[in-house]
Parts: sequence; structure tokens; C-alpha cells
Amino acid sequence: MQGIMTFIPMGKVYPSEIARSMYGYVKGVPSDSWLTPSERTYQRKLPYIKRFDFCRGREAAKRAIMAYMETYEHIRISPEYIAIYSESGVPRVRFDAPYTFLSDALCLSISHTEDRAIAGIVPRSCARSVGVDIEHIRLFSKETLRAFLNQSEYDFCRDTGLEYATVYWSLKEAFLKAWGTGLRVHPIHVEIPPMNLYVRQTNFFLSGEEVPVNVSWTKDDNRYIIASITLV
Amino acid sequence: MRSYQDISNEVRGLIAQTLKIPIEQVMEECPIGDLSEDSIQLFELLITFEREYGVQAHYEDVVNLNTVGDIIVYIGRVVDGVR
Repeated sequence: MQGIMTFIPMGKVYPSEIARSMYGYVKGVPSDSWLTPSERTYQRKLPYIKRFDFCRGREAAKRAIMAYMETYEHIRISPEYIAIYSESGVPRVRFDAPYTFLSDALCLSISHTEDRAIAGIVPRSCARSVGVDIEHIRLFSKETLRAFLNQSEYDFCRDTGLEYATVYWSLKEAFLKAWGTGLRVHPIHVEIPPMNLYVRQTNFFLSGEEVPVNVSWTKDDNRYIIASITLV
Repeated sequence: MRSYQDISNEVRGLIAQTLKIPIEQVMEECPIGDLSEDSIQLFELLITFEREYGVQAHYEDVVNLNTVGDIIVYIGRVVDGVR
């Protein structure tokens, strides 16, 4: 199974030509050295296991932001100047002085599973929003497949390979994150024609309405699907 | 009409079964997001509720519930009118 991300996520930071987006990818033991003092305080209040997810997500996001700033804005910035906070469930980026003028310049999305996290950023000047998702490839029950796949998607997965069900899930969740609702909207309402899985600039359908999207997805470590959707 | 305790035991059992964790871990004050590994497990939990209680029309409500206790109260209202 071959995806259509241009990068192979084996390192730490990945630029993409799509809307000047940048991705950070973190695996393994997390470090809280990437956190601001207020993020560290917040992290200590989380359940023990969730602290790891939090640290990996923040590290992935800050790596992506720092790489973006250096690559496209020619500004070197260290992580203590970058604060990531949540607004109605959507992650936002705030820069502390002297970089406050950069605040709200970037859209951000974070996803984690098991021992890894990915973050995607895109400048607001190039795109409306970004959504990323990472999922462990799994075998879904038929009942679950029927619940989130429409008929053409279901037939495609059955005929082509059940791994594609995880691709569909990740693309739908990434799309709904970029849309701003996350899974508050049922994923069955997102329709992805199978022929659009391999088209970088295409349309998804939300409750029958066409939505133009930039699509990236790949398989990592033979066990994970990483998907990114940019709304332009 | 079933009691709150009956519904609580049943819902906690369904959560434990779907998320494949011991029922002792499914305490009412637990945030449901802390019990599940990922969004797919949460979705499978919603499917279980759809199947058992027919709450499909209230999907958006269910995903906004925070704790196991919130879910028990919600299911109680939908199914039996228990408050």
C-alpha cells in the first residue's frame, strides 16, 4: 500500500510543498524540556499516562513550528517562546515577546497514538486550516466499518485491502479536525470517493456538499497510517 | 423502569467490554477519554450505545460527554427517563 505523502516520516521534521505546510513527528520516550512553565504546570495535573501524549504532541508541534519559522520566515526561535493552547478543542499557537507579532499566523493540528505524535502546521496566509491524524492499522469489525464507511468506500476496502479502512478513518478524522468540528460530526457524513484517495488536490463531500482539499497520507513503520488534510 | 444503579452497572460493563479493560477501572468519575486508547475506540463505544440503546440520533451529544458518570446519566435519560 503506497500513500501520497511526499515525505517518509522517519526523522523529526518534514516540509511539504502543499501550502507551505510542515510536519513534526515524535516517537518514543517523551521529554518535558519542550514545555513552557505554564504547559509544565498543566501537564502535571494530567493523568500519568496522558502526560506522555501531551509532551510528545507539544514537542512535535514545536519542532514543526520552529522548522517552519526557520525555513520560510528565516527566524530562529526556541521552544520556550512558543505556547500551544486549546480553544474550543482546537489547538492554537501563541508566541511570547518578542515574537508576539507571529501569534495566530499559523494553523495547527496534533494527533497521537501509542508512543508517537504528529503535528501539522500551515500558515493562515496559504490555507484555512489543517487536520492531521495518526492511527494504528487495525482490523475493524464489520459493524464498525458499516458505521463509518459508505457503500463505495466499504466496497473499495473489501476488494482492495482492509488496511484501507484505517486510511479512510484517518482521512475522515483529519478532515473533520480541519473542518473545525472533529468527531462531533459523524464520520459517515464525510464521503471520499475511492478514486480521490490518490489525488493530492481533490474534493471530499460533507453531507453531500463538495469541499476542496489537499490530501496527504502515508504508512509508517508498516503499522501506522498518517493522514493530513489542508483546507484551502 | 430500571434504577440508576442497574443502568450504571450495565453501562460500565459495556464500556469495559468495548474498551477491553477491567470493569474496576471504569469508575464514574473517570473521563472517558482517559479510559480509551484512541478516537476509534471511542467511536466503537458509540456504536455499542447505538446498538444497545438506539442513541444514534444523539451522536453529537454523546461525543461531548466527559465522564463515565455523564454517560450513565445521559443513557438513563434517553432510555428510561431516570434522572
